[in-house]
Amino acid sequence: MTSVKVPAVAVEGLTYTYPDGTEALSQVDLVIEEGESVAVIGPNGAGKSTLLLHLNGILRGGGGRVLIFGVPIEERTLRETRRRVGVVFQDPDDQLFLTTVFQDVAFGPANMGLGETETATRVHEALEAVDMSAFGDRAAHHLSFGQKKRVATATVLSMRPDVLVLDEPSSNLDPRSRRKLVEILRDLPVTKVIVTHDLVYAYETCGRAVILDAGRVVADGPASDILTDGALLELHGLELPFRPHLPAPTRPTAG
Amino acid sequence: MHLPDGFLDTTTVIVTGAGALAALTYAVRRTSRELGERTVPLLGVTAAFVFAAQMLNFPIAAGTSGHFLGAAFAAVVMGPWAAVVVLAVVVAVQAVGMADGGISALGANTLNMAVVAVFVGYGAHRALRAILPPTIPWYLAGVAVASWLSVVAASGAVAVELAVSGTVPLRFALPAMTSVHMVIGIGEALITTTVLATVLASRPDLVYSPPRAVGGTTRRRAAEAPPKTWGFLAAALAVALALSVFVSPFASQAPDGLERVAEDQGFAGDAEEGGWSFSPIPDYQFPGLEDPTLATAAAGLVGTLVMFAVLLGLGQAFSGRRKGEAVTEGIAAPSLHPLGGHEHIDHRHSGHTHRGHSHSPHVPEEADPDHHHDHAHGHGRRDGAVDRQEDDS
Amino acid sequence: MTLVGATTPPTELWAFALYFAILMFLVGLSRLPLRFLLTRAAAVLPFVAVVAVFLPFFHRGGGREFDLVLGVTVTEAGLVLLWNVLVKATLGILSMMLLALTTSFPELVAGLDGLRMPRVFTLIGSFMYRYSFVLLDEQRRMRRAMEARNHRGRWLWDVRIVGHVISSLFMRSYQRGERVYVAMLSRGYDGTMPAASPPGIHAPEAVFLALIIGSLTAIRIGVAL
Repeated sequence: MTSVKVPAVAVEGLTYTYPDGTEALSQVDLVIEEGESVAVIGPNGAGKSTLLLHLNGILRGGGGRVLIFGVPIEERTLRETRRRVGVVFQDPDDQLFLTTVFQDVAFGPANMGLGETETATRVHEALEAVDMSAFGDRAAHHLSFGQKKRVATATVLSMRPDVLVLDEPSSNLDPRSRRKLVEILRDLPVTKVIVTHDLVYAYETCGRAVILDAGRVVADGPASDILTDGALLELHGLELPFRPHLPAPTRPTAG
Repeated sequence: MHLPDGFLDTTTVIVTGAGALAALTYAVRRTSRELGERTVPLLGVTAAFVFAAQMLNFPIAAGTSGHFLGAAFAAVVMGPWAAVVVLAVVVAVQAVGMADGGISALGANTLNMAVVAVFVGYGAHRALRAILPPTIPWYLAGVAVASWLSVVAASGAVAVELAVSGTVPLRFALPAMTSVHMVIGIGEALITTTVLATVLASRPDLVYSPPRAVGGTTRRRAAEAPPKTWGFLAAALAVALALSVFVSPFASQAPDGLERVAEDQGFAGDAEEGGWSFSPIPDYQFPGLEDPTLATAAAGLVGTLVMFAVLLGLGQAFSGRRKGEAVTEGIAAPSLHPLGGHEHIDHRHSGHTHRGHSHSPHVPEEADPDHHHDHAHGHGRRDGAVDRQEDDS
Repeated sequence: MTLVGATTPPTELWAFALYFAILMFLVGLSRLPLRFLLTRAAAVLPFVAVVAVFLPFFHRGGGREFDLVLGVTVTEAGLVLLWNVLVKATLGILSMMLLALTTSFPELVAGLDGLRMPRVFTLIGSFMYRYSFVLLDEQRRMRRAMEARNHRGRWLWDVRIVGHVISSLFMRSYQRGERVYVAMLSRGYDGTMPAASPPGIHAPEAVFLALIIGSLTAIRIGVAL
């Protein structure tokens, strides 16, 4: 009897309402296996960010639960959760708050209690992975936006997470930086959850796509299916990614 | 208002230094206890804000300019102890990084701007909030007065320190500093009030000491209380006037040792000239009034009256703008900014007072473990919410 | 240096001469162009000077009188006071500027840490430094947006505009503070910052430092005798 592999992320019946009454998530079920790359897409206000914040326990206390490799997220498992699930937020300035790049990337490992040498190793490793090795002593505000984004990714990578969650990784990036980020992320063997508006990016990097709308999962399947289904996308406030050789949207052509 | 090196004598330097250190240590400890992990990011960012805001200069009469201090504002929004820390950091960075304020004077400057200003502002604010009607316009009026007072008090402290050091006698320093800063204080009051009003309109949950009316019970409309209004207004006006009138005479009635000597030696005749204000441009005396003391008092009086007129106008303007709708409705929907104030989960927030907040009565453990319709009480803000999640297994 | 200077009685001119000599020595060491330092200081000094100039007029008691124009008199003690204030302020300002201009912020923070300043304090300071730039950027963007809508220059007079700009800055700051907090949590922050090892002081630096401090103290003590 083959043992069932524990999914990396299991969201069960997740419901969450904000203090001012806005219902953000409603009975969300989602299972992500180890090694998958999943794109979470949807219109604004769909609850994507709310879902994201649940994946490492920032938000808790609503209905349902989230399990990371079988371990439910709760107060006492937070530390471990945050080690295994690394979240890269949208605005790099929120994540680069120390004085030098090195310090920022070292923040995660240091919090994990790793010694000085181990931390330094990880920092170099992470910076190398995002191709920013030479920038250890720079101050964050001396970096370009694309560079900041990469360093921000490194700050999470240095913790060697098993699941990498990214919030709009390609937003505001010029094509070259975007390209670079795509390459960097593609090479990482971790489980990836990418919340994005950039459907082309999603198509390029993810094998699976989940559409969230009004707090519910409304579609879940292979990216190649979902991201080419014009009608489905439009129904949920999205648009086909611009790909000239895709079949025309399934709309009745006039006359 | 930053004192450079050299203006204070050694004793004063030591005393103010010790005082500032003590106050700061306590404030840091207190704030860490209340805010827990949020201390560093929140205070750091607020310090950056205060620092940036202080760069804004606004011109006042004839060539001088004043700038925003932010002590009262920080106190109302973050509580007095956090405000002390924030202002102290700003003052320190200004001294060390920009030479704005001497190092030996750091103790005094910290005391003045981070302790005196904060506590006078906060104290006045709380007192006024308690005695004035609970509606928002009155709250703002109280804030305006409090922030004005904070600036004036800080300048008074500077004068005292100068006098004690023997640099400038009190009879000159006090009226000079306070009269100038009474005018600067108007700018401070205006800015503080405007900013606070905006914050209240969109994120009242951020404010440590909010208006009592935000408690969510029936909001009294401003029109409802005309008879009481004028009574309170008169009382507040009287208090401010008394302060401005009595500050200056007080100074001259207590000549310090040096002046005593001067008078005995017959230098008293020079006192007329000495009525110049401390600033380069002595525009704060009334033409036609010989006695410098009276002139200063008159200036203060007129300034206060002007300020009150402005305040009333402001109060009306702001209440009119909101047209009676509940302030809490102004909270932006979280979808626009999902992290707007809703992730208060992970801290020990025990010290945070929610006076008058409508959406935070702490609901004791709900019998219903299955809360899909969690509303305002279901927020994960308190630790109680986290416990509930464990029920679900 | 500032502290020692501030506590020296003003009459001992020779002491001040020595202080300045040391200061110049340090400046020379730092390879900071003297002119640069002076121009930066010149931005701050006038304020001090202007204020200081009026001091003698207020000071009473002691010494000879000098009659200036218009029957305004000034005492010797007053002049001494003026000198006192000016020289100490200048010394202080120049020293601080030297420090500020030669030390990068991380080094400043590390230095303060080494001096055992409470961690919380220096941390808040470094956050403040870091986010000042971000804020300044945001402020610049707002100004540009305002100017694009034809609201130039005179905005400082319009209190409502100032209020709105400031409140907008505040809200953004606060919200950023919360987002930074979330980011910190996500990387395992639990309220205690990981201890950074303070930069060791190497032997030559220590000796140098000792020399400077030693000579300053010696001068001060010499004055007291």
